[in-house]
Amino acid sequence: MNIKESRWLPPLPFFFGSPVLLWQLFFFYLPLLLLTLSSILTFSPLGNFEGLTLDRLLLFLQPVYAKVILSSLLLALSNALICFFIGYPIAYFLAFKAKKMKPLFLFFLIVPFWINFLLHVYAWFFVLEKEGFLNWLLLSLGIMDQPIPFLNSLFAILLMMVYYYLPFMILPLYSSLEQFNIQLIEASQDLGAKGWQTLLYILLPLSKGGIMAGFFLVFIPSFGEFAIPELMGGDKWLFVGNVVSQYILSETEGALGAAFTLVSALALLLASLLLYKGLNFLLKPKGEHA
Amino acid sequence: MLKKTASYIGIPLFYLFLYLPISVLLLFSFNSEGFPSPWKGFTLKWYEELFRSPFLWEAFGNSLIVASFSTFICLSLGLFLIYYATQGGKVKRFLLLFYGNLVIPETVLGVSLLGFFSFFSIPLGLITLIFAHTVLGLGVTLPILYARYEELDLKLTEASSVLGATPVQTFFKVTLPLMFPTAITTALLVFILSFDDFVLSYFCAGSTAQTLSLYILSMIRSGISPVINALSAILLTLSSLLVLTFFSIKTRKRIL
Amino acid sequence: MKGWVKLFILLFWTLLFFGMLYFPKWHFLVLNPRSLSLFVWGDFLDPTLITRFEKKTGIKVHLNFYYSNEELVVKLKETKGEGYDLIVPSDYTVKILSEAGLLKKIDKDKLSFFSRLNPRLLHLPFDPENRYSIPYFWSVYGFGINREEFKIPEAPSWNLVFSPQSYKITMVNDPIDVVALASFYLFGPKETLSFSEAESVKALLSLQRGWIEAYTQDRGPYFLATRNCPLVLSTSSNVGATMLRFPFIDFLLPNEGTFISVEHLCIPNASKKEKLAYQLINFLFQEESVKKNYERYLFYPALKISLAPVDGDARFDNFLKAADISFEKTHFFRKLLPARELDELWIKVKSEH
Repeated sequence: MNIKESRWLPPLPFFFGSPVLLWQLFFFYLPLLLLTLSSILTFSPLGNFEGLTLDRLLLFLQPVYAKVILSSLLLALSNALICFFIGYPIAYFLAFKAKKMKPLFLFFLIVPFWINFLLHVYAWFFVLEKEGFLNWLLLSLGIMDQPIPFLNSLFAILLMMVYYYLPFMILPLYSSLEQFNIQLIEASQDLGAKGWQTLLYILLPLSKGGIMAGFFLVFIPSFGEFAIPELMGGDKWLFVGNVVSQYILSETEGALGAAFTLVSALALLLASLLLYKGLNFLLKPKGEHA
Repeated sequence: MLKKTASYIGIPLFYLFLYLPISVLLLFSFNSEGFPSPWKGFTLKWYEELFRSPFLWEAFGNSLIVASFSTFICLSLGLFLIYYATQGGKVKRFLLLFYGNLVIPETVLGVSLLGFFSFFSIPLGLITLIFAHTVLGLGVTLPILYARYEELDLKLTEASSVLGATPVQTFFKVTLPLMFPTAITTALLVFILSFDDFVLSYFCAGSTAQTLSLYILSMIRSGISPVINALSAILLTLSSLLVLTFFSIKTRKRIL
Repeated sequence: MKGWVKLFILLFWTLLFFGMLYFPKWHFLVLNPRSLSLFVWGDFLDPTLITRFEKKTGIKVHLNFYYSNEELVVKLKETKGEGYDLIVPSDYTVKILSEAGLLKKIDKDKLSFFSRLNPRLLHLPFDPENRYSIPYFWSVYGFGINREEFKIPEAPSWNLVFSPQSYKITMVNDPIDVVALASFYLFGPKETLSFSEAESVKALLSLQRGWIEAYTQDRGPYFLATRNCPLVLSTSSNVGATMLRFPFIDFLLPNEGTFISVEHLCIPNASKKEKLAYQLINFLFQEESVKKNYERYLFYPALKISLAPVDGDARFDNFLKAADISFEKTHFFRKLLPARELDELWIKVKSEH
């Protein structure tokens, strides 16, 4: 017998390494599997297994539902794009221009982020209402003579989404930019490149990791939003999240709710892949323009 | 240069945008008349009502409990995994399995978990919520903890075992202390993630677990109450303190 | 050898995790016996009443909230009624629950107030002998209006919300309510809808979307108070509560008749705390309790008590008169279409534009 085998070591590493994987299996992958299965399996009223069906999934490819899914994708994409165009300059500033005051700027950026999301929504009511702050400002400055109905509109929904998701875009961008040597930028400018050239051909490709992270951290959660469309949009526009919560909380069979969730998730997956490919292509370092 | 003026206007404008709603919110927490009345007079009565409301404190307490336990479980599972890594376990390839936790829309996760709990007849409540938040938290915990672990100088642990310490001793006396600051920052992140969470609570809390998010939702759905403004002011203060802690630990970590 | 150990470890963790998850189920038996778990509407019970009850009897009351009858039914069916000792379903929901065997029979001898209940609210079609339910409060659907911006017509009618107007309104958000209201406007009281009738309802609702400011079940009066809308469709209790704060708000009933919602107290079959539940029920039906709830939430009480009008405010005289509405003119909500079709109709209304 081998000497190694005769000594029994308590398998402590396995004991400690396994729980997290088990957890992930049971509480992440298994539920997703159940979701998929309940969408495609049929049972007789008595609970006997009958067979596979794609009927439910096909049901949700109808125009009505397809429209809801597409609206959600559009909303998520718009949100991500707006967050990007606002967030990139901010991240650039924080990474390169803030210098001594950087911790302070970061601090003030993160603090609102750590307050309950619903309170943010609530806060915007105070600003956007007909008798709220913004209208008060516009009226007292004489810019308008009638209050503008900001709320219960697509504008309000998008505004709130951008407001809430900006930090999710800015922080990854900042992390990515922060690592850079500012000398690279200075070098490029010394070599005669104009500002926008530096931006397009050096900065953007180099910060690709951060840009990707930012886009996905905004795009994907935005897709499932339902509280913002309900509270800010007067519940007049339905997105994936609204439909899902309606199905789950109504008496409709759970399988339908599961099926719709599955179809939406697949649509999201597809869209994400396209987004990934698109961003990858746009941000490729363009070597020819040395 | 254009960039300079842009930063002098753009940045302050941005922070104004960020803090405008919150400031208005805070202002109105002192208004003697509830919104939509305009400013009537200064009062602290909403803060008083806030402290007297039993439902609010129950909801707050529940959120606190759920956040604390989720954080604890996340950290434990994470540090267990780090121990496994110290013993030569190959962790990196497994990390990929956890990317989904943050990437998946919470709505999808919530619905899946709800189905899972119903299927196994698991009663919905604080515990199911804790489990749900832990799933979310793991997506944050594991990458951060492992990244920190990779940064650690292996020579230190090698030295420790060469000097005769058992793996367990090495773990507790060398690895853990070095991981400590990161563990704290991770804990803070998971805690906030759980405390502020809304979507998972909506689906997985059942009706016994009234968390702060759900409580606020019910108040918003029924109108506007300045009590929420007062609550926001308090939470804002707490949040600032937490972020301050987060930052002070992070900067200290760099020295290590 | 090593394989078995690994398996054992995995089993250990699995049992631990699931043990934690199932904990409430078996811990429940050991839970504080002197406590009650209520599953009630969000804005329904004055919290000071609960505290008073707890102090008086030493019974701890644990509250859980739901926001629609469907939520109540779904959740009750899921847990088979376990976990709650008192629930407050509306009218037809009582029938759904009793038919599912989820309600306990009420022993009227244990109720001290039963003879003083308004007879109009007893023996309703869904529980003719009041075997399972005791009416507590009721409300009617009507219009909340801003007197300063809306001229009160001679005969308020459902036209005010269903035919195109120059102003914007808020509409309720529950597909069951909405379809029932629209179908009532088009066809009068109905038991069920045919396919073509459902299509007409859908057409009306899609048209209506053009003058809707927001769909909301409870926030209608908020839109009145912020002067966003001069008229909102809401319940008497919702509008009434806001009337207390804002003098320019009033409540109107449409002439053609309206829908009524009667909230009943019921005890789930699985509850083992009937004795304590009866104590709470009797407490809730005491005159002071009923008065307190009315003053705060403006639900019409099922108990026959005299309600003092508020400070000589004429609006509340009218408000109370609305409670005298002939019950021939009121109808209960019922599901006019199967759940699946209702959901689909509602989604179509909101997304096809």
